[in-house]
Amino acid sequence: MNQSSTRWRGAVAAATLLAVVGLAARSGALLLAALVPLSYLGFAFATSGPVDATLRVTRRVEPDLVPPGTPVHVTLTVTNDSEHGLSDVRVVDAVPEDLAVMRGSPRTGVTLEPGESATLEYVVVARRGVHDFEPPRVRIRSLGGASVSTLRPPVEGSTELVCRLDAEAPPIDDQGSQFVGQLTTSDPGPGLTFHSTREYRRGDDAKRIDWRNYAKRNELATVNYERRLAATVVVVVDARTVSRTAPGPGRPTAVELSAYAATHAVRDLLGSGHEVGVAVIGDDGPGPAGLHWLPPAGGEGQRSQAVDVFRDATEATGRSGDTDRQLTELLDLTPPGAQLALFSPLLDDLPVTALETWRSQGFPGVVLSPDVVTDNTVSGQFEQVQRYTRLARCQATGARTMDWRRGTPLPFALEYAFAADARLPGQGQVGTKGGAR
Amino acid sequence: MTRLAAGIGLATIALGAVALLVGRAGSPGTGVAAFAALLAIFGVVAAIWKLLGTPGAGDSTVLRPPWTDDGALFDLAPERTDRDDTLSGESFAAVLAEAGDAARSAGTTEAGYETVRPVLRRALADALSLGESDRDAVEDAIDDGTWTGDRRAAAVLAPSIAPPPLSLRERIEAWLFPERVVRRRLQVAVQAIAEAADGAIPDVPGQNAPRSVPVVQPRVEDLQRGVDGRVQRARDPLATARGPRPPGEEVPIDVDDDTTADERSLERQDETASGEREGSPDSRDETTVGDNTSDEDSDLFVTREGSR
Repeated sequence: MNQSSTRWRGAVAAATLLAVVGLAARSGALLLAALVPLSYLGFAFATSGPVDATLRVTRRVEPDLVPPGTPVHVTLTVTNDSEHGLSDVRVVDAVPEDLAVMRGSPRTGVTLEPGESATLEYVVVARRGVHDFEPPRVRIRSLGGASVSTLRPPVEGSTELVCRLDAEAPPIDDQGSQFVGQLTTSDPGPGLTFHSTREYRRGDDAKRIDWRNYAKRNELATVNYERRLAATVVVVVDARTVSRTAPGPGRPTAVELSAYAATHAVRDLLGSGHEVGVAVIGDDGPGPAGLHWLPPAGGEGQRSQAVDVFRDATEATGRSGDTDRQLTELLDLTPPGAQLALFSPLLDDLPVTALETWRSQGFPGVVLSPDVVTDNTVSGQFEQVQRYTRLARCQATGARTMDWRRGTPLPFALEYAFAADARLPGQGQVGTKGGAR
Repeated sequence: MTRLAAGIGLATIALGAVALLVGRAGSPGTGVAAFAALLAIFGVVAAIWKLLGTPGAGDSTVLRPPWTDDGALFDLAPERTDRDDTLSGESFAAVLAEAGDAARSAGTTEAGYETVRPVLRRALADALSLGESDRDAVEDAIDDGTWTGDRRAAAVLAPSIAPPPLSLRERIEAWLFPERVVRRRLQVAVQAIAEAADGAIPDVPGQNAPRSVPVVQPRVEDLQRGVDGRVQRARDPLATARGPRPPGEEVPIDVDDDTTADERSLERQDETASGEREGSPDSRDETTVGDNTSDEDSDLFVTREGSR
């Protein structure tokens, strides 16, 4: 819609004032000075008129399917398809309300000749959800600025950013995500990975005979492979209010990051054939004692249900369940011998106390803690000291503890948390129910 | 309306010019003077109305000024989010602010220390207890100040310890602005706690892992004001809770660097080839640095050494 601008109201006032003062003082110089602002007004009116412009707008969101915390590059290109130039084009992209721009700017002001383009780039950090980009707001002014037209041109290309807990972010794929869940044991047995050789016994499978050794020493030996055991793992996500904390405005909260890590852990554990249960504490869920609870099971259906549970956990409902009761109920629900994997930012002592209880009752434990503390302010430095103390207390219970620092690839954290313990000396196999696969 | 005002202005100038000529041609008449006075009053009123009036109010053909709600393109700056999430560090920042208020209202620094002392003592005792099994011994160490070499920090956590004597200027400042002194002393105390905890808390895997995934730098509006009043970045890649890292340990990748990401990755693999590659993921991360790096990621920070 074309509108007139108020840019020149100061010039009108100045012209009027100079004229009347010149008249009252009978000063020809002041009257002549009034012509200066009037000349600007005349120029503005001479160049005003309907601002007709045809703009083509293209937006690119890369990547457009990401997990929480991933920087996303947004590029908006505005092209002047009109047959005349546009002297003053101001563009502001409509960034989704839940996202904050971390680098670059979604604004620009340019002059566009016919066929010329202007590009603006900025970076947002993804948060869970589907974020729609509305058309940008474009304001075009005439040469003198007296006429203004405000447009919301349609956009070609990307119009949304999808941030999902189970999204496959490129860095994760590149570095592999299948390390998790291979709960290998130190005991030899059937499998794929070489473990050792032993003397041949009657009845051993011919495929396991070390024929190279037989050729060299004329002795029959049988190859042992690393035995892999199926496990039961209960993934626990801390979704209490105290954990809904972000390291900065527009950044994902610790609950989002915990749910993201838990989603990948569940996927990889299920993919390796383990049975996985899911529990969310700190929210008012439909399960017993207000838990979000999925009993341990395997298969693709369990994975999709787990993702739904984690998605619900990330949405702040404003309701908080009785956490102490939920933790007690969780112990009753967890099958004997199962492994409890806690995903929590450890911003208070309750998760540590819960872990100590689990360990005292013989449940193997894993802790993966996303770091959302800003550690260079005085308050952040102090809270980080407290958090490190809690991490060390978790480690002292015998649970494998991992500090997931921002910027560290998730697969490494998951690999260490779930796969490495069986190979560590002096630690027994945990969370296994003995069934060899 | 602007055209009308311009027309009136032009007419005023024309009438003024005519009046000026008439006045100079003949003897000054009272009628001309009165007309000039009327015009002057009208002109001043019109100028004031034009400057102070609300332009375009109720007129859809006039664009309101951009600093008004109707004239702005967006109600909220699109760079910022309207979500009101709790930020980490806010809870202890509130305690620090409360300590400053207490010092201000009571007029003594000790009132501020008393507010925050239990929190600091508990955190320090928890941390030191990890290295010292006897909690009573830790409490004694805090009481007699042997946990740190900084008497200012020791005096904050134990009222029985006399702080170092203040200079005249510091005494005047403590008398006039006790909250400022409390803030500075608390900063010193927290730094001393972090240093003491550094030696007592065992390492947990991942704490010193490099940031090989792009981490976005904070914007100017994300800067936080620390307890000492200085503005600082919300996340400093060179800082840890255990004290700042030595300079040069983490290096930003320059976008103007001609070296490609793959070449940088290879260089780092060479550098770390003799290092430990097994155990915690901290050491394994080094071999992957650069895999996710593009030249556009100018703010990607990587660590050359995984452990401190």
